[in-house]
Amino acid sequence: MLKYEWIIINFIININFLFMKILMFTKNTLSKFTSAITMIALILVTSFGPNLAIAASFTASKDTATRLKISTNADHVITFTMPTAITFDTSTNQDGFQFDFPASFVSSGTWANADFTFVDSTGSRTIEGTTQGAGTITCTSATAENVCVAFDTTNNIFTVKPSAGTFTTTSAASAVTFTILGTGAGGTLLNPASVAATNIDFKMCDEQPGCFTTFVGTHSSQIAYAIADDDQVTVTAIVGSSITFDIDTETGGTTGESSAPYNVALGTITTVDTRVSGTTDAVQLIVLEGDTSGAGGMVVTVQNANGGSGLVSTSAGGDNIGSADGTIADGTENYGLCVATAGLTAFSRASPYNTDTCATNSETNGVQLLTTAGENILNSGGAPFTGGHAEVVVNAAISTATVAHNDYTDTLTFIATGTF
Amino acid sequence: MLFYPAHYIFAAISCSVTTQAACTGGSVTLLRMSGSTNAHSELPSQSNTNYDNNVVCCSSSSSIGNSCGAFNKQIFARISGVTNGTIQETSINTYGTDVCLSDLIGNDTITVGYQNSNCTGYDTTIASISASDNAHVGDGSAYTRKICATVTPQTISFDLDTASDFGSGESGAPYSVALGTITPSAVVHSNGGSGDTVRMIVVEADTNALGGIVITVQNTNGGSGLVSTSVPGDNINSAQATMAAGSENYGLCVATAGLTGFTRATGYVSDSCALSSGTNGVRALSISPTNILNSAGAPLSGGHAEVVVNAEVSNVTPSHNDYTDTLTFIATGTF
Repeated sequence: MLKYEWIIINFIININFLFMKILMFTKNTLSKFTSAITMIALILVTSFGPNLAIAASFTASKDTATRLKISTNADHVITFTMPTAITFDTSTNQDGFQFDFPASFVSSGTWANADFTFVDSTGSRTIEGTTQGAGTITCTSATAENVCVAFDTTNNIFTVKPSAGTFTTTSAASAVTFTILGTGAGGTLLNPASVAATNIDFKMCDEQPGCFTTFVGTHSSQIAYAIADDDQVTVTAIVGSSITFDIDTETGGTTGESSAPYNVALGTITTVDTRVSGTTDAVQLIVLEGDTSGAGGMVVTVQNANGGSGLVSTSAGGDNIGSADGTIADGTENYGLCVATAGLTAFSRASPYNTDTCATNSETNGVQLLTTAGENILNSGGAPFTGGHAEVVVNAAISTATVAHNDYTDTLTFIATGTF
Repeated sequence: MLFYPAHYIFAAISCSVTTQAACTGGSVTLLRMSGSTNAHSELPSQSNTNYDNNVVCCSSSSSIGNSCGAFNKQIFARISGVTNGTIQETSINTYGTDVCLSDLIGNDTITVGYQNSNCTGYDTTIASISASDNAHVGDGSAYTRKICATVTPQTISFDLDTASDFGSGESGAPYSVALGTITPSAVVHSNGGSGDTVRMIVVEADTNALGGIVITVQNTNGGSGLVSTSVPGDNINSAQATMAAGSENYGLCVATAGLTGFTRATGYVSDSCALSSGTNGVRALSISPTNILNSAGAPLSGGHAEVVVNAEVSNVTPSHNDYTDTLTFIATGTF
């Protein structure tokens, strides 16, 4: 009910009371009768005649869409503020809202209750009785406090009708939100096919008889809709392949940088003095460093020149210090590598090196048989990595049967492979 | 690229003098005249036959009318009676019969005025009058003094550009920004200067919305940023940070230079951002719309903003040639 209507009715009634008092003062019986008739007529007119509706405009009106691109389905969240002194109610006449999309929008599918929400000063109302058809502007909502939605397929108009049952008034000057899910499985609402001025009208039929047969828009507003040839930007990028790999054999058994050629001098090995990388024996560590952007990470393999023959005398090719899986011990001939668990960064020890006990300066490390075919010694766990650092310990021990020579040698080859 | 014809943005009303019989098809009669010059006038609701051949007939893309009882209306003149009246300008206000231009759309803007010689600056000429008061009336060319009108519907325009010359000019859809090959040694960003390699995103808008305009941005991948198409588990993250060489990140900022009309929205407003910089502050992108620009709650004319796309990788960012993300920009006016 419009507040102004009460003011108008009261004003007319007061005038008649004043008129009646004047007539009473004159004690003119005929005039009294006439005035009574007049008063009744006026009251009847004001009570049962056409209601007056003072037109007004909605404010803070907007349509927040999910897409603005031409020929693209979009959801619409239409928000507006009710005019001052105007309520959405069912007293005397059922009020209604209409949201009128231009013909350039294309509706498809069948609209369902789940395609809409209606939130007002009472909270979120349940949608029921959604219907559609050519010229359809009415629907049925019988459950208290609910609303129904009718869609006019000819004119692209969504009409919201309040329940015929109990319906708590939507307050004046309150915010209302009507959401149209135009991208769902029910009805869809396609944006116009070209960039042009596009305005969505919404209006309210307030206190008019027959709002849902001949909708009379007593209050209205318009929202301009920003259609664009495209509302999206595709961003693309390439991350190039990168890999670095470095070996260092710093003198003194430390982990600093050194330059090629790289070598490890084990010195003189005795049956009571196993030689091992580290500062104790001042035998070089083999430091391996790597980085890669390879999506599959990096694998480092090691192979040697002599396979299981290990360290072979240059002058007497049949004499050697064999290489085998095992634990290094004084008096037991063996030669092999292990990867110190301390100092391992980013790299992981690869099988079979991953089970060995290994530390610099330790003379009881577990070592692996060297092969000419090569086998994995390190990897990055199948992922890109940076700052990879590993300290490979060279171990050698002899037995009393090991032939004396001063020219035992072997060559180790480390290969880093990135998977991109 | 913006394709709006000018009349779509500014148009609204066009009037001419014709016969009552010809004023049909949604056109509205604003005033009936006894002739095309030296005439008396009557209300559009009158039907005296000697006024049938000279009616001011108006058409509009809006829902115009002639109701003086409408909420949204302007009185463009007053006449001395409902028929056979002389006419006066509204401000004189001694005649009791108003003639009006109305609009069913409550928030359209109707402007009427009087000026000599022409109606430059208005949409149309309603009629011309012999004087400001106690005047005769005629069609638009009859007298020097013109009654002018404009109806302004709600308007908004929105456009994106990613010009291939890396500048801030116009371009057509589809819009794309190819960042090229990113290495850990330098941040890649829209650069807009000499030696350009990466496009900027230009956002342009206009609106007469009293509550202004808000531009939001959202992306497909949220904080995962640029995602490899072939290996979706590999990505270049998007986080709020200052871009730096070797630090993986991807995000947007709005260059402070080149910002016209628009204001950077909360969040983006505090970022240092320039097309020439490799150390821009960027925001974490989100799959939910996030405000990036607004017009400070006021109508906007000639809004222009240059959005800088920034990306960098680290040594551990997996190598792929198919990183991608999609940004969606939405403009919403509050009317």
